[in-house]
Amino acid sequence: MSTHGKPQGLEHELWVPAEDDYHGHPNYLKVYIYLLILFAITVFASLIPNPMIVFIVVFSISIIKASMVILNFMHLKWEPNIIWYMLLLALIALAFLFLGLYPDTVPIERFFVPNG
Amino acid sequence: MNTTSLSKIAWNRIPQARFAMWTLIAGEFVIFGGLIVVYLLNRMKYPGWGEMAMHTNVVAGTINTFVLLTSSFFVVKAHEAAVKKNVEKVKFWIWLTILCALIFLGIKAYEYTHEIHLGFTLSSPALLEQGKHVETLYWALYYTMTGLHGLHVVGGALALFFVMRNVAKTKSYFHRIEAAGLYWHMVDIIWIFLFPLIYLIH
Amino acid sequence: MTMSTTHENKGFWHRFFFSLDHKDIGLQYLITTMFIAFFAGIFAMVFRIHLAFPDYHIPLFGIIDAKEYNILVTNHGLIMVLWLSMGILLATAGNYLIPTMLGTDDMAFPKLNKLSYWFFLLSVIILIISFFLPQKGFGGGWTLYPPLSVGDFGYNTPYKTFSDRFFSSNTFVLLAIALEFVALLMGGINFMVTLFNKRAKGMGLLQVPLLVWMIVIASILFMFSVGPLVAGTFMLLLDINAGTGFYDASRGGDPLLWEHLFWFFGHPEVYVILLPGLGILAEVITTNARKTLFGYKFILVLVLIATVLSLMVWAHHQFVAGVDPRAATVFGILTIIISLPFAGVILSFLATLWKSNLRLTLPMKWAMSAIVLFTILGGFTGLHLGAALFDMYAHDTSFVVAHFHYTLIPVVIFAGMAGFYHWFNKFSGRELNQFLGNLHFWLTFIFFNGFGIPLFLLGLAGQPRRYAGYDHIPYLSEGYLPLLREIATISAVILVLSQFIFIFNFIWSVYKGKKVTSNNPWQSTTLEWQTSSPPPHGNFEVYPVVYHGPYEYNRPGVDKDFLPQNQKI
Repeated sequence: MSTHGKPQGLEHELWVPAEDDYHGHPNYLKVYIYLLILFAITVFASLIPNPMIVFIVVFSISIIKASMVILNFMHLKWEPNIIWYMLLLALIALAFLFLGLYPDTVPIERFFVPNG
Repeated sequence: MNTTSLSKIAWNRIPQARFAMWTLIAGEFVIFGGLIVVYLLNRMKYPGWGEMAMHTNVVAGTINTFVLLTSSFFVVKAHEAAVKKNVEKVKFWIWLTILCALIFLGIKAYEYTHEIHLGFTLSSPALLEQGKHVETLYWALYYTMTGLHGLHVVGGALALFFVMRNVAKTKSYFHRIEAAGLYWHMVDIIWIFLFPLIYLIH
Repeated sequence: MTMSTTHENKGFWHRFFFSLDHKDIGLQYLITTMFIAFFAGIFAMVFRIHLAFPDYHIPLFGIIDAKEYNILVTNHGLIMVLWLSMGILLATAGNYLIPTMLGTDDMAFPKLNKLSYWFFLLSVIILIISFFLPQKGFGGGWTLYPPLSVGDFGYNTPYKTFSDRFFSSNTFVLLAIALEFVALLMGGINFMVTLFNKRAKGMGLLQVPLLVWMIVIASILFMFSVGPLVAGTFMLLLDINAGTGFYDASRGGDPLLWEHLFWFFGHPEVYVILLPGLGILAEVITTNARKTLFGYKFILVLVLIATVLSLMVWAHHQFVAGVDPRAATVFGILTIIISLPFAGVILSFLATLWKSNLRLTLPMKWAMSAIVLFTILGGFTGLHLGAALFDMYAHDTSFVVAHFHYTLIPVVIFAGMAGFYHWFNKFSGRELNQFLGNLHFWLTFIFFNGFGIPLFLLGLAGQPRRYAGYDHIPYLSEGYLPLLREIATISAVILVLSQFIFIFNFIWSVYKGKKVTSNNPWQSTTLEWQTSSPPPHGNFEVYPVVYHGPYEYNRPGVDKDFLPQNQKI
């Protein structure tokens, strides 16, 4: 049932059946309510007239919401370190993509409409 | 109730289904992250895009965000039921999640229909005629990002459906609920970033 | 097929379609990759002959015009970089060797493994179809830069309808690439999970053979660098087929965006290719030097540092594209710094060879020449090109072509052949003919250099790359430059033809070669040598337990000069 047919000699690979590897968990309802509150703040913040402030507030709240989903709902808080390292690598890659692309895209004017 | 994961004991010990799913999720973050980076850069460059963002349906987007957040909650409740090996509850929560997915797709379809009717398409020939060359790129990116995300919603819903059916039939393989749920949360997180960038920032 | 036995002999086609055994899948990758690489090699011969002897009527191709030249060059590059290198070094080596070296029965996800092969095969089929579409193949350079790759420039078949756009070589090449990326992503997940979850009892992560680590790290690097390119490819496909303007300057888009997205992947890609090659060298060198690997942990740390650094150097492919000079400075410095970890790895290999009990077997000859050619002619010229100022002169000349052939061919062909000659008797149960093997080695070594060194000189003289001929350029057609071109061409032709010796040797030896008398003819310590040749279905009759590291050669207190990993002292 739980070993799902491991050949003899390879039982050490299973170590513990997956469905018994449960971890701690938060109060899911509480996390959901916090997410809804943050969501409401986001929507109301978008009504502020200054676009720069809107951007900073809204983007920061998005990061907080995403963190809450990934740490709590996806149980990252209880996952082993290797998962953290992988996600960190993904973030580093994206950060470098943004930093590397920025000087070549935003300050440069390449808009060109050919004649006719 | 255990407060530590058994797999937390060793830094690299984690059941393989979850491991594979996290790896896939990290890869998908880089794919969507690439698109979002492109969007951000162009947004910073072209003020005209802010004007285009006004034409997105904020109400629809808000409802969709609420729907996805709630579906995330539903799917984690399904995981809770799976840990307790309660097949009936698993089915209940997964069906609710799939319902949320269908609502999301329905609202998105309505939005797309409305926007296409206004002339905003992948190539937006109407805008080109008006001389608004740069703004056509906004809509191209909008459809690409939300379209790709929509495809992932469909994929995630299908995965949840098949996993649930398998669990119901065999009364085992409960760990797959968590794996499929992880994928679903990833879809939700991507939308958490897409929503403000596309709908809210003017 | 006599190559490997299963406990149920179900016939060739049944195994082809349904076998989930990683060994069968690895061999399927090998055959498919060799098949498509055969064409890339022929293309290279044809366009090289055209460059040196433009009026020569080439059999089966005739006299090449500029469009055909572009198609040949483009597809040679695409196939070699994207299909051959990763197909052999990641897919074949990874699939066959990872479970066997780890002492386990199969990959973590055998069905996903099979699915990834189907995607790979499909990508090859779609690539071949692209040669039969109206454009006769994509000719815009393996780097696929827009707007050339978006429009119908230069084709005699203008795009009028959606069907014209979709059923074009441009679209099909992009679809083939996308499918291949999906196959490799799935394979990468499989490799990674297998390394962490399916090791023999007693094998900690630091007792894993270096090759397995290298393949897994390469797969992780691939997974994280390919994301933006997947997004970019999707956008390019939309630009071609749906009229979007992501790379169109007249719509606010930017052709340079593609360059960045492409090279953000393109640079880590070369390390994805390099790392398994280094892994194979580690295995071959330790076995043939009868000495433990110097600095196993040191090498791992260096490779991890290089992996992270490799995500930060991509714009050295774009020094002349008009990037901000300040950014160019940063990228140039990081490029030069990234040579240091790899120098450290090569020095570790040299330290392994120092005062060792060297056996100059055929795999060892391939391995040593790989190190020499890669480091001296490939690596050092990479430092030249990393300096932005020199690159301004050398960019898009034959100097660059020679540089990347000196980094890629030693790693893919020389290290790949070292691996092939090393493990052939394991996967087939027979030996390769030594005389033909030596002939293959010497011809490849001599004529590869005969091709590459003239190309460096031509590049320094200013010969641009991707030109369909140089007769109309006076300063390139005088002096000894045409002679250099002819030497390079003749060497290239002989180089490609000598690979047929290898193919003949391979096929002949599989069926008629001398059967091996021992499971472990090289007297190697790693686990794949402790089972039969070829390994049975499930890899081991009794699953091994590991007691120490993978390279225990000449260990004091042991009477033999090697101690297999699953043997106690």
